[in-house]
Amino acid sequence: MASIPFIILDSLVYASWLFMVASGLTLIYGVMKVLNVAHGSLYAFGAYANAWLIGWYFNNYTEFEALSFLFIPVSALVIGVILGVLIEKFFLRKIYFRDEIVVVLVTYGLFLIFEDVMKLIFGTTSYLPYQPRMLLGNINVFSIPYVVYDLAIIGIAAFIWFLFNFIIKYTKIGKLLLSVINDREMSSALGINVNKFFIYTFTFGCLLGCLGGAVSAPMISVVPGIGVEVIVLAFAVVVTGGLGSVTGAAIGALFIGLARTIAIFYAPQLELFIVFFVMAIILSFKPEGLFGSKEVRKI
Amino acid sequence: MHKDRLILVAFLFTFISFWFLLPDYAINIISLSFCNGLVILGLLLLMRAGLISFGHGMYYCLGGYAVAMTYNFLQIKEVFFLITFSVLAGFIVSFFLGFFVRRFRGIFFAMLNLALSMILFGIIVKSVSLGSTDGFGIKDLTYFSHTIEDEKRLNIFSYLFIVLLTGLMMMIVMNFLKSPSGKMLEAIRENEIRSSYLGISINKQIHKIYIFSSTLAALGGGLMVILIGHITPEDTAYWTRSGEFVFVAILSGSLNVFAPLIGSLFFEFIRSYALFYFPNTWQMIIGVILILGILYLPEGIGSIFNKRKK
Repeated sequence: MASIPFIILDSLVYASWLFMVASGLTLIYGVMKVLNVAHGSLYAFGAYANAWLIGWYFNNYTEFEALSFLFIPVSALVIGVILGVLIEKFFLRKIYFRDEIVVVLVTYGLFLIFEDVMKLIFGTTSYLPYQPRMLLGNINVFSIPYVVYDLAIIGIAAFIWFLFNFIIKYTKIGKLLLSVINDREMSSALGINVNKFFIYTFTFGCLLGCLGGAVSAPMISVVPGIGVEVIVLAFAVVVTGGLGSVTGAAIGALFIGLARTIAIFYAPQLELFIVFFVMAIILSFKPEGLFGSKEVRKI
Repeated sequence: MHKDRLILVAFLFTFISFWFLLPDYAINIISLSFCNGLVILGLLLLMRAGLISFGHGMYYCLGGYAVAMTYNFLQIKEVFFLITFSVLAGFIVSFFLGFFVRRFRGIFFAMLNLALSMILFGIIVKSVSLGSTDGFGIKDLTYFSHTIEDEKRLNIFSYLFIVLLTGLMMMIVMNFLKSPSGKMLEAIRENEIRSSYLGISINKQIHKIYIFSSTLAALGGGLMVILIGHITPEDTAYWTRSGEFVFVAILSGSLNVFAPLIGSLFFEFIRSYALFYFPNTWQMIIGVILILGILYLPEGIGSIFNKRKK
């Protein structure tokens, strides 16, 4: 039982990482009813951009190493805003009125395109931007040595969650956003510019996806295909928590993170299996997810 | 009604005659796209009821593994029995999972199936006795106790077997869609609540077509293994494969039973050529085709041939 603190820490870190990736996805679904498969490539793009910037910086400069942390928000912001606006303006806007599944497929097509675009831009060799993670060093938590960078991810995820709740509860934009979520047509009739909200939400969601990638770049080796695995995990989290609910995504991430960490500690063969198993179990008891709202059936 | 059957017979004859006309590589692509076409045919049934599954790769994989494992563990080489096993595997698993899956609609149905297929992928990849990531291979087969000495996987027997079996399935699906049960699917898609007030048991109908479509997918997987001779979890149960199936299904549309086959042929040829001429950017080409298809052919490939009467 000595491993319990390990399990708790590891699952918290993993859950925070999952939440970071999934929050953008669930936000976009909640507001626009678009399940964005291209979110996986945004994650990969963010990771690549950050990895490239860090590699470039450390090859040319040796002083001001702490500056490399600045690359995380910078790469997320640049890539997220450019791609978010591009995808929304040129693709999604044309198909909002179509079936949800068709929209999913368009984003799947974009995902396929981005996979190859990334290979063309960044090549197929792996990037290892480990420097920022090394800079922060280790710390003892409950007498367990742990990497500070990983612990910082918990803080970032918590910050994102607070930001969401603050915006939705205490700002005018949040209130307007809630009305757009609840009834798109009525809010546009009341004079809310729904299209503007869509583009802002989508861009913000993309930014979060890129941020997830940029933050995790120093922890992984950035290779082609990282987006593929991330997107199914994010789907599992989002569906478990209830599509469109940010708090749901947080709780779903905690559930899945805990289950996966326990599996890794005691039965490593089940690692991949357990994530989707938890999702299937939760869905069988609550078909709309933990925090999902029941759909009103219209005759 | 007769017209459609005649077209089907002509369709099959055309493809059988291709054996004598086209080079081997083209025949191989045609056979493969017939195997995959069966999965798309299964998805068409679900699409008629307004559902789409992002996890039909699971049944494709199950059917394939049923063939490969009976071959390797039970030493059965008769194609007829192997295919029976793959159909049974698809039927039994979808029968039990159907009780669970039939409660969901729309995006949840799609994602739940994706989860189930990823569970299967996880199980296979992590267990050595199931071949792990290597999968299984099969060697020589007998077609109705007629042994093939030739080592080539693609021969007139396997080709005829695949084409005729696909034709049979198309016939069955065609008849099903014209039966009252098949017409109910459209009612369910258009308005579930109204059709339940008219006395249709929605969940039962959805369960039925779920089994039907999964069995078709399993059959497709089984035939694929007989054609290719090898199966890996990565190529079958992983979600990108299921995504491809949905991609072809949406591009084909659900207007008639020929569309899935034509869509599948179209896709396999495009992929082969894209892979050949643009090895680094073939995914991009497929993505572009998908998006263009959705934007400009909203009813699918079938709509070119068959304009729906308004």
